[in-house]
Amino acid sequence: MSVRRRPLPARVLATLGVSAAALTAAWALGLGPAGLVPRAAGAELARDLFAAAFTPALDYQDPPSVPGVQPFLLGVLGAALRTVLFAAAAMSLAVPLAAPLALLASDALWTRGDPRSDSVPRLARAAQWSARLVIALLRSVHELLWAILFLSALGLSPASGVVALALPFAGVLAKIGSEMLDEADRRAWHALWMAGVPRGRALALGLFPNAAPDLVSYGFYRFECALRSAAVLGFFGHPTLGLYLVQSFENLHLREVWTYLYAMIALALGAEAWGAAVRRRIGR
Amino acid sequence: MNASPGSEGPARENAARGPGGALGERTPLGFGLSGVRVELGANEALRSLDLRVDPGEMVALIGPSGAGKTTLLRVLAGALEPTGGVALIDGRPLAARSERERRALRARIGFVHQDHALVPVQTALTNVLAGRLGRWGAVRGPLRTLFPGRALQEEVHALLSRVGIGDALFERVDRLSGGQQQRVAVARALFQEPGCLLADEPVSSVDPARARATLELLQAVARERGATLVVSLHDVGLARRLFPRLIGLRAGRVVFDAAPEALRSNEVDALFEGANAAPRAK
Repeated sequence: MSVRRRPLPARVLATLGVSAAALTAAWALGLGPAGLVPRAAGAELARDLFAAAFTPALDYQDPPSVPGVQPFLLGVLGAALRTVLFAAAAMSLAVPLAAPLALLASDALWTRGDPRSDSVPRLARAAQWSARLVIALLRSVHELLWAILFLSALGLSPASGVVALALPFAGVLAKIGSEMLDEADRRAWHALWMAGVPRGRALALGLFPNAAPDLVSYGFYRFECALRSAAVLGFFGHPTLGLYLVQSFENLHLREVWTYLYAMIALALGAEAWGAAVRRRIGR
Repeated sequence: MNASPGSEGPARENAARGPGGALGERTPLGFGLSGVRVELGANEALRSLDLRVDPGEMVALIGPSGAGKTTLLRVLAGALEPTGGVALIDGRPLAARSERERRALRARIGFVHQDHALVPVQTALTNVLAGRLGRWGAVRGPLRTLFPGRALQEEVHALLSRVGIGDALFERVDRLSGGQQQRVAVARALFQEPGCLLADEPVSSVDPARARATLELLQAVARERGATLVVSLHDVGLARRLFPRLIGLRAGRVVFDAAPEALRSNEVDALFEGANAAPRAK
């Protein structure tokens, strides 16, 4: 018995296509192993930087001569705290903005959870797609580009930094949130609908609790991302970790650079540990 | 011996007394189906089905998998509009009711789902309380469900104790066994205080002794309230012992509709003949 030969599977074609795209990109950018060999000065800097990793600064490497400057570590702590504040403010703006968008963009809001006969009415489709468009617009612009925009519009105020973070984060939260709502187990929701519970309440008490653990878990992950982005906002002059990191780097105070980096890592780990503790509690 | 507890006497009496509240939401309801057809996609789940169930009656639906038992129950529950024919629920077809009236009707019908359809991350208490959301207000309902007072907690506890899992009151549902979850689902339907109880294989995940106890409980509650009870069952023996009226379904049609005494065993065998599921196994 001979097995009938199949035509070249689509998978092979797709793999070839992706490979071709990668090679084209590398050729167009002039990528080559040579680009990874550092120049002499670069190699020296790299060596110094990595050597400094083991001896992060505990005080200014070049102590300021003027009196009244706060101690170095206190400054690091302050910068870390402001980074957390920026991230927290951005998230507390992004979540309430994302929640209605996520609902409007989901199928869940417009159907009644019956797996057998579910379709979204035409008028609802329009609302749903408008919400999806808004979400796409919000998240297609990176927070650093929003930051530049708001920097020129509002100046270097905390609000401009926070709003710049909040908008794309609201977009991503809304997109993932609406997907999580649609993927959650719908059976309890449908059962409540069948028990005469109006749609909104059935959704709130039958579907939302099923999505909540994932939503909370994802929210914590995004908070962690917000911390990193808040730190990077410092590159534009906002008083977060990134600002001081760049200043230290420009002065070649490499041991100070590592102190800021370790502070950043500590923040991320702290957020992760907090999120893990909450996930354990809610059983996810 | 348990001589057919659903024999029509007491149920009818209760029905006549009409224990309903001012809104009539607790009065038992009956069903009249004629020529009902249901197409689900390309599949014809019910074909020209005639059936009459009087208020307060107790009926067991039996038949092999895919016979249309769940579909029929969903039509009775007002969750599925027939493709053809007329399905009168409490005297009127669904199509003749406004959305608001349909909700009010569904709030009077308790449904025990085969897959339980509970919220796994919530406690048994919250799940049972949700059964009454259809009758509580927009603000009061969610508040009472999530933050029940002492009286409600005790009411739910009594109900859970009655189905044998009083200890599980504050237990998260996903920490309970399949059989315990099934009983939470039963308790939720009972807590709804419905005028009609529909149960889709309510005892498929419990042991035989518990199955019998659960069915007898459904019957006892239905009798107390004068509520109509329609239960789909795989276990023909259990159905024969406990129910005064058996309806055999096969391929979307009623094959027999009789009291257990009047039912010949070859009729039951014919119901399951050639079906891939054995009559008593699931």
